[in-house]
Amino acid sequence: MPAEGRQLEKLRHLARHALESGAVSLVIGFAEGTVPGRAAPLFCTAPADADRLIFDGYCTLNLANYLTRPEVRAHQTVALVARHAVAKAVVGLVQESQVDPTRVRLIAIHCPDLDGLQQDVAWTVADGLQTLDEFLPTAAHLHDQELTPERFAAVAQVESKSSHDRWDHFAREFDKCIKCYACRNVCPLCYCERCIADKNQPQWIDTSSTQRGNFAWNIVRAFHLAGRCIDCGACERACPMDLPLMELNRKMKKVVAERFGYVAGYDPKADLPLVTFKKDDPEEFIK
Amino acid sequence: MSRLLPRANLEGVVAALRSAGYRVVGPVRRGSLVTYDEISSAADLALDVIITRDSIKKFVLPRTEVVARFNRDAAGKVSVLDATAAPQPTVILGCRPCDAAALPIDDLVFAWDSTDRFWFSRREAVRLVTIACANCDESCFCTSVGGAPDSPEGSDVLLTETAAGDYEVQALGERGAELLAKFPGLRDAPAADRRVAAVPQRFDLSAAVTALEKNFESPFWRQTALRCVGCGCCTFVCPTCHCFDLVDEGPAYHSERRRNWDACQMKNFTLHASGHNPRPWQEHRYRQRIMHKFLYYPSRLGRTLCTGCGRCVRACPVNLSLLQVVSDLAAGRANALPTSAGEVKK
Amino acid sequence: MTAPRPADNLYLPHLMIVDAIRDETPDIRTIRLRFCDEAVGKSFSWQSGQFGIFGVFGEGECPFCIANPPTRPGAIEFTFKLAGRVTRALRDLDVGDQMGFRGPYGRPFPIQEKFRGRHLVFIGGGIGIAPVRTVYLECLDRRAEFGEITILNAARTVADLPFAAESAELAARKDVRLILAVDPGGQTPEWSGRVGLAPAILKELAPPAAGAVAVVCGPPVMIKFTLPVLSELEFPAENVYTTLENRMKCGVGKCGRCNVGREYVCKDGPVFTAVQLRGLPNDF
Repeated sequence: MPAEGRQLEKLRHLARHALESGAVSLVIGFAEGTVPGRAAPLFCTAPADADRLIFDGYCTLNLANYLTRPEVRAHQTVALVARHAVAKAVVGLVQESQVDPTRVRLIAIHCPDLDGLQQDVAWTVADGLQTLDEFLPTAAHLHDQELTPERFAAVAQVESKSSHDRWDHFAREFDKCIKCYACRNVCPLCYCERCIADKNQPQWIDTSSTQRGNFAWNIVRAFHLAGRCIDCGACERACPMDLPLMELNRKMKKVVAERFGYVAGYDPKADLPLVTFKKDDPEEFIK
Repeated sequence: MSRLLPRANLEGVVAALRSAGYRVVGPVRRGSLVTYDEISSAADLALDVIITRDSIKKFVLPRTEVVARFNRDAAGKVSVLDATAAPQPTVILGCRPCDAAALPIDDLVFAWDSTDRFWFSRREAVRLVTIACANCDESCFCTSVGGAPDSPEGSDVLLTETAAGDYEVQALGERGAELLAKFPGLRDAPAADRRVAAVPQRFDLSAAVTALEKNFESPFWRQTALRCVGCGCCTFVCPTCHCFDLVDEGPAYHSERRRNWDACQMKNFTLHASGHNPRPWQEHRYRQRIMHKFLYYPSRLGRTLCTGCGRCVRACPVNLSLLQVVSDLAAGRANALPTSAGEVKK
Repeated sequence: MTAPRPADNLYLPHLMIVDAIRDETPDIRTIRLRFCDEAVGKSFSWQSGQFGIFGVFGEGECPFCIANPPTRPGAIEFTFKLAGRVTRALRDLDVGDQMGFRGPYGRPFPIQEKFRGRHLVFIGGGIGIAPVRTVYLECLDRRAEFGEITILNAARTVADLPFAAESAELAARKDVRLILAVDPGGQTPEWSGRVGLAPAILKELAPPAAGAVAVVCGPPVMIKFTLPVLSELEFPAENVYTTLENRMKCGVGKCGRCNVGREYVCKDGPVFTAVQLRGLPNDF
């Protein structure tokens, strides 16, 4: 059996066993998509469902997004087929008290690089069902890849523009936005029961897909994710109009790293940089 | 004999239409994205794509549109101003048959007992020069909902590619004849082989409708929609989805009432101010989308609210394929489910 | 495509002036409007049960039933409860302020065809009494055409019972039986009305069903428990009427928001019989 086939068998075995043993009542993973190049989220509740699990470089959705769904919360313990980005999102959700870490297990998928999104990505499945605490040390080394310059190539390109050109760039990109909110709805960290975009007393953000409404939405979303975005890219991949949303999110990530020495997704006990008050804060932004 | 437009003359058509005062739009590539946008030359057209990412809906039902203006003078007196839509005469060149077919379907709701002036004034200003599909992909299903890759429905002019790469031209109705008269360089030619995609029939529509009639209450909906994240992607790229919101925005002294695209998939769509939501779960909202397209709309207005363009299938970020769902329904998979399947405590 | 004839802007509201404001409870208010354009006002007609879309410029619009029956013309009244952004803005209006109105929309109660010559039972819960009241006001204005009239007006607490002054007048009339009720715990020491939930009180009252028509409106849960009581009392379902509300935007069957199954509340309703309700999927 080729190496990948053995890994898939291991993945299915872990999922099947997790359900059979009663360790979890739901395993969320991926099944074959309806078209080539796509994978579909799969909710396994019976051991036999595990036979439909697959994994490849097309399994790009961040499954941690489902943990805050009420239908999923109804389960006592849930296992996720989790490449690194999924686990990072779980860290964020635990850190923000949205998910109880004792009720989540990971079937951890390790890829050599941070994202593991290439079509022919080499992947291996960790031994056994893991808790978040068991998983974290096995991925700690990936932290070094978070801030490599290649990751910020697009950001650097935008930064090199004059402010006028930057405005034009974003005006052109935001103009494509149709306000479908796919970016928000696939984002594991956009879990607000009532999003600011849905609040109307007052109407913080124009709901219309005008320049004003589109700027407001996309910028406010990036701000709300500053220091929280785990850089999985799910929003950008979901966007039907191909907005370069990660330019904004990665810029925020870069600023937070520079200012606070913080990268989201590694330490569920860390203080969130933008919601933590410190007496020795230089408060440079208040003039 | 048939009328032939040599491919090289497409450029002349664009120029002629533009000088006749039309804005000419067609599929345009910007990076990875192909959308309908204004063109100034036939060279701007990305005619090699199966289908654009967005539909032609935006030219008739813009994603945001002012329907009324309210001006408040210094004394606080309000004047209510009609927003007069003066749409630009537009030719959509390289429209797809599944887009063109959507407009007559939506005409029905916008003319249902009362006439929506905004829709019809834009409708009146738009001419469709459709190119029959020479290729299709696994998400195309026009033939399953009564369409065809070379269907003339809704179009003013239909171009069908010949084996030599030229276009056989067919004018439809008076509007089409009038428009075709502006096309330079047409010539008569013997009928040639036409390049038309073979779109397989993927489900039996009447079987799907029968299944919907029986399965309003079915665990099928929870099983199917559990992965749905409730965004508006599928409805916004859809050429037939027409549901809208009316909102007041703008400064207090010059506010506008705007009509915006809205989506039945979003939880706020039906949320009452009291907090009651008739469709509290995503499965209810997903069911509404399928029921509306394949059961409610046809039973009230006589047409299926879907042209099989497959955009929703391609765009869904969680690969929740409407094609798969309707195929499952047609194949009786909803009927067979035990009532306990997919059960989750509420 | 057959081009339909040029049409007016369906979404353009009439400009109205607030003529009077009456607080019914701490959070329920009635506003009386007149048309800025008197000619429009004179030619405007409607029937009990139809609704309008009422709007505050810059804030948005909401559907409410037209509260005064056509037997009381010369103004447009509506009664609303504070709930969201638009109702908040409506409460900020003063007499003399301007607002918008579109309508009338929807199908009315078939008073002429189905109510005449019959006994009438009206049941309203909370703000749900508002559309019921429109019908009983019309029937009282045409009192001779109907049999016995019974009105059950139920609310959570005494303070939440709307139309108190009007109720006092009704209570004094010999040709109407008015029952006021509040939920257990909602009564005051002075309360002389009933205490209990509307369905239970209706069961106690047991109005005769023979030759009677019932009109019910209230929160979804009240309607849900009241319909079986009416059925137990042997009211034929075709003689039981309710008026549904759903979130609406256009009011004219375009915006795709208010449908319950195949039925559009704005066009096919808002008035439905219990027979029709039974045919609707559980989606409201």
